[in-house]
Amino acid sequence: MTGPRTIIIGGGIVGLSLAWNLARRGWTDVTVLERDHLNAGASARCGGGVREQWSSADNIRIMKRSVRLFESFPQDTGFNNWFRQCGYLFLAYSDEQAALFEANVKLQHENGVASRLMSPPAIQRLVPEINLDGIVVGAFHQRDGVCFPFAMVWGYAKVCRELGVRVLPGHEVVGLEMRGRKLTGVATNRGAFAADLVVNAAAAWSPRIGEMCGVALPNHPEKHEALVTEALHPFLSTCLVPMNSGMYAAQTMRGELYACVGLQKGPAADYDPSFAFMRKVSRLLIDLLPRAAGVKALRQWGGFYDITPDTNPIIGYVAEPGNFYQFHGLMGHGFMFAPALSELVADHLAGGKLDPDIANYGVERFARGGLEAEKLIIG
Amino acid sequence: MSRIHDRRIYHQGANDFGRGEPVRLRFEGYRLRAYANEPVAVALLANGVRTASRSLKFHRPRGVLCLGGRCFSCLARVDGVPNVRTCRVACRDGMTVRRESAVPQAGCDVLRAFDFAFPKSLEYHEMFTRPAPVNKMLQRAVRVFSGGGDLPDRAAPAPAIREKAVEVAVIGGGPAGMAAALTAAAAGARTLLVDDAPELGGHLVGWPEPLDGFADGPAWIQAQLAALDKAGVEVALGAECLGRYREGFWAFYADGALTLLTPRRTVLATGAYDQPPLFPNNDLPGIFSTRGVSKLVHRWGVRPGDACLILGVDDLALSLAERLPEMGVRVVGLATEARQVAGDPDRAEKIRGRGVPIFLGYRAARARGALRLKGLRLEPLDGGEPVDAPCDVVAAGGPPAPSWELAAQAGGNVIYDAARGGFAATCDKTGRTANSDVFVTGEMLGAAPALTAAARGRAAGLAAALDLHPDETVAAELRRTTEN
Amino acid sequence: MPRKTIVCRCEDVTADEIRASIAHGLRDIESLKRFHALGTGPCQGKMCLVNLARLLLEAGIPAAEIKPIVSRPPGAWTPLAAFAGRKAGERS
Repeated sequence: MTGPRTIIIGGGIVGLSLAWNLARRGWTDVTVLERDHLNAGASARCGGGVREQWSSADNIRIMKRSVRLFESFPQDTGFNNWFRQCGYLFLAYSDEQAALFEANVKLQHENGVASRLMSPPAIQRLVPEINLDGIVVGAFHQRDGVCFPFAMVWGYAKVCRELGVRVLPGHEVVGLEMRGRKLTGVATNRGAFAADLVVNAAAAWSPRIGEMCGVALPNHPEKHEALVTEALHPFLSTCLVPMNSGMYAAQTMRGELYACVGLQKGPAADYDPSFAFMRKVSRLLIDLLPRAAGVKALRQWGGFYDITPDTNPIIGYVAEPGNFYQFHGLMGHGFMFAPALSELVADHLAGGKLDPDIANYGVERFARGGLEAEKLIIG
Repeated sequence: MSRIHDRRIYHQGANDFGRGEPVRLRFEGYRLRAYANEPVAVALLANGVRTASRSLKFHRPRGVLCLGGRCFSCLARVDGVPNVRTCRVACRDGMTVRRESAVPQAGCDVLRAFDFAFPKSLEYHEMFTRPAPVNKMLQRAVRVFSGGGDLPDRAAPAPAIREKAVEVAVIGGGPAGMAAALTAAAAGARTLLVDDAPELGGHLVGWPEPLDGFADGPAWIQAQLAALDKAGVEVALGAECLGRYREGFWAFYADGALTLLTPRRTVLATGAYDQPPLFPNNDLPGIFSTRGVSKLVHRWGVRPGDACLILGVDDLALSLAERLPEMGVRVVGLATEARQVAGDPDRAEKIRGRGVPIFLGYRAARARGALRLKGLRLEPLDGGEPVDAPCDVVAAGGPPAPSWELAAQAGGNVIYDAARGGFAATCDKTGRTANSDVFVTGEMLGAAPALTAAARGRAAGLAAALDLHPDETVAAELRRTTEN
Repeated sequence: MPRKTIVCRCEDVTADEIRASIAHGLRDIESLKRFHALGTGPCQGKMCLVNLARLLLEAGIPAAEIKPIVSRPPGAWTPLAAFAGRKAGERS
């Protein structure tokens, strides 16, 4: 056996991509525990957007790597993820937002991302259906795009199993066993598992897992809702993010218009869809794409963002238990960050090498006031 | 379509099928004869257009199944709006109708090559993942062929959203819903009855048999309408229930606008869904549900084809077997997997006596036909020679599956119940669900004859009203109703 | 002529596809729904869920394990414009 007996709690894209990366580094005893069937949680509820346009250098660097991994995913896993690099077009509706875009594009260029500002006429050419009213300028990057989220989970589960990782849906963690200052095992509704290392990758439920061994975690779930419409022939050439609302809208591989936008801040407990969301998102979509008014809404659902006080992830060991590793707090963009972050986390776990881009994400930072917030949080 | 023909029945006793004014539809370069009260899907069938749509992946020709707004096989672009259920839109003079998602058009679609290239299945999850350039081409190709229609031509207005409160809302206006509304109103509740069709009655609009002393379904429905009017029940038609939002109201969509309804008690009477049969080529144009054929023939007076095989031998099947020949449709036989006739055995004997075979203990093995149904093979369950029945219409019976979605959204407990024919909400003997403000009734409890459904509805309506207006006489009536 | 038994008419899912997935270990409706898109099209399962349940029973899955999909509003597809309207007494 190579590597510790490892239990990863959470079978979404985070847990599965980490498990695969550990298995590729030679670890032979890795188990992923997922309480539901695959694709029940956030990985299946998000829009599948993937972008390099961020407002901090470390996020840009991590996403550059992640985008490469999304591009090569079909070849790496033998599973199609339908990653369409149609670009992300952010839209500024005020001088303040325009200034933010300028600063972002400059920083992105400094970090090797060839994004560019886009004038309203150019925006109209790119998206003929768009309503230009109020748009000051756009920020566009062609390498960004959208994929089919379920496929990422299935693909990672596939290659995990090929390398001997045990992927166990239907296993809900009900307790953590400790002896002294270390975890020794994980109790589930279907039996107990011995462990030398436990990784908490349970996203919105991570604090509940932490509670099971006395670790207080400061993140909480925030409900966001999403909508898909009837499937139409391809027409929307890019992913749209109007910054005055933070809505994200794109056309899926099946032709549905997908849109999500936050409603209210604060902790959330259920996935129940609200009428208030339908009103808000319908108005926003119709404002942006007037011909969408007659497009029929097909289905809406809810999902949880995993919110941290400073909008940055929680990654790293906690002080006690010493073998309890956190990998969550990924806000509403864990999906796109997971492939690259998992490489860095696997390097840390398996190689003892802590990359500077994730070195500041330990949970102890909150006692010191946390980090600077990311400015391009959307959806 | 190689010939323009008219499959309508023009003289059926006193029944003129309520057609309304003659109008013309513009359909893919043709001008079709239609009538103002005909649903577009019916007008297309009347004009011999059998291919209602092309299927999403394989571009197989698809026929209409249910003619009741549930099977979504009748989608077409109507007046610049994509994916419209043509069975729910009445013809209007000059209306343009076009089937989308076919190359060059649905009558002859070259993309059906997918159906031949992938004879059993098409799973694209692990297809052509390597090398990368080929994978990129696959990705682009799949996207090109995605979706069911183009973006609407125009923007649409956003009408005001209405809000409404009632004491008892009955959602679904078939026999159970009408009965529930009548008893709730009689027991003193301010009652609203809502249905998504343009007329009340559910599938009874096509019921050809005498019912409770009335000549047929439509006549029985007329009597209920008079009673509802007299009882002061408010009726809303063409209003589709979108469901129950967490904010606590039911949302309805009618005439382009939403109404948010807050009832104190809700009786769900949304009936059951006709189910497609399961055998190879079960999606060919010409394969309808039995209730669908009955509606087509009896309510709208259109012949579905020339030769019909009926799957099922219950009373509706027997009734169709008797009536279809009068409408100019030959019945080639009836078949069922059961060993005996579910309906009236004397009627069955008379049908046999007219030379129409009844195959007991036979299953439908497969349908054949390239663009539309040409025949159905029946295989005896006990082994033996199969029967190849040439036909261009199949009326597929089989128990419809209860609707359950609204009950689940309201917090009801929904389980799989084979005895009821599918998923169904659990309830007590009056129909009260796990959400005590919400009742289920009618065929949501399983397929039932109209009068049985009506009896169920009466109980639910009484129980709902009793919650709000306690009354010993009404309580006694409820006890009597549920004792049976 | 290809002989397909169509289970999900909206998304063109065949019985062979479903049986293959059940044999591969996808034995619950939610997983089959996601993998095949069955029940996610315009009819939202009205025409296919019960036939899918029959295929699961045929494959030996006990009836008690067959659970309905999660139903949510909007249960019928509805133009976005309808949701965008003003409520009485509301400014736009």
